[in-house]
Amino acid sequence: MQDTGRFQSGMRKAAQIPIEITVQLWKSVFRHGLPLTDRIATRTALTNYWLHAHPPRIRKSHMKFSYTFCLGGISFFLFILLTVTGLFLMFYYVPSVTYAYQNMKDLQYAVSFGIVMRNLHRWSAHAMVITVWLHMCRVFYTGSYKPPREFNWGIGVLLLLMTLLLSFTGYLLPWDQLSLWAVTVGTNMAKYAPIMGPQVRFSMLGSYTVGNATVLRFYVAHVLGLPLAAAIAMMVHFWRVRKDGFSGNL
Amino acid sequence: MSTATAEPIDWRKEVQNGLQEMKDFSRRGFFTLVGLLTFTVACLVAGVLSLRFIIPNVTYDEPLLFKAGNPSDYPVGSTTIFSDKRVALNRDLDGFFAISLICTHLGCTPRWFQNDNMFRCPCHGSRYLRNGVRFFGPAPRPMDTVGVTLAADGTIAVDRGKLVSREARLAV
Repeated sequence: MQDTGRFQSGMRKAAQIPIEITVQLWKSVFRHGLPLTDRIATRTALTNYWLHAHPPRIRKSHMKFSYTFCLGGISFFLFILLTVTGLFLMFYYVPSVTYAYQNMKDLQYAVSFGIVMRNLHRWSAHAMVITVWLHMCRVFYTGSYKPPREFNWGIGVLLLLMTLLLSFTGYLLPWDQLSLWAVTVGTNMAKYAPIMGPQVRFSMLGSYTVGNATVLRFYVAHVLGLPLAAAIAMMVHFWRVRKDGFSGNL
Repeated sequence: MSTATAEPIDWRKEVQNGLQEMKDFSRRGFFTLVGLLTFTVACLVAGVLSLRFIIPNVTYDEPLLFKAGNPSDYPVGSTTIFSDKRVALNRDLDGFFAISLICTHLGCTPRWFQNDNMFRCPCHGSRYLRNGVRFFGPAPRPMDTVGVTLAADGTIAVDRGKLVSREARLAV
């Protein structure tokens, strides 16, 4: 009898194991129990960066849409959209002067929904430049660049620069007349830089004129280097928004 | 949540602490310093190498010198445009001269308008005379006049890498 009892209690314990594992797994992600009450649900959301990237407490007046206009959020959304559509475009695009223009035209006329992908990418890119600028203006006009947020302003300026560089490098990739001369003009502006202007231009182009080396260079920067750098800067940027809080006293 | 406020830094205390640390310089401190220096040097070397790596030693640009046929192909007073080579080859009474068609503003290719007897740049509207002198628009100086020589086989050779004075002519 005693043995059977021990066996039964062992079975009961064994039956608990999957539940315990599930609970531990849940807690490892959300740090709180199941959101069975409002209190737990609130805590779960507020302590989780993924569920609540914004600071948990801000002024009521800053909750209004017209305080931020969601400009940073829209910029980030566009960045995600650009990453996804860009990834799709890469399946049909070869960064070489022989194929680039033809591939771009293929995307427009020979690939199912290719024109949707390309235009989404193009218009999102235009829109992102606009929203990033407006975001900077909004931060300026609400005085949100002042201490202790001056570091995040600096990160934001870097992100603006990277957005513009992403636009500039992407401009060359269709390899049409507009691309060619825009990059010729843009890199000639770099040439006017003091002391080492011509060297800067040469290392940007990878040759003396805009050509195959330039397309490859701009492509690598456009699809890998700059997005990676921007993603890292964004991680810091968002984290600082959460930790520094919104501007103004509570 | 309290808004984060920067605490004022007591510089005097910071300096004093620093001096005290230098007085307490230990074996561990020495090795920390050596480690940091090594790390810095390694970073600098890696930075210089990376920077040097992206500057190519060899490019696939086409040669700057090209041949442009026989002198007799060009009547006196003519202006011939080599649009791919970005050169205008002119022949006057006193000989040949070539203009490098790279706008001195931002590097576009000015186009020759025979009727107006001028070059116009499509990018920002600079205008040049037939001899390359700028007379309108944002370009800061005349377009370069490049070397024209007679090759050994009697054809005209234009060397876009060689700048010559605007008055230089190849008499044939």
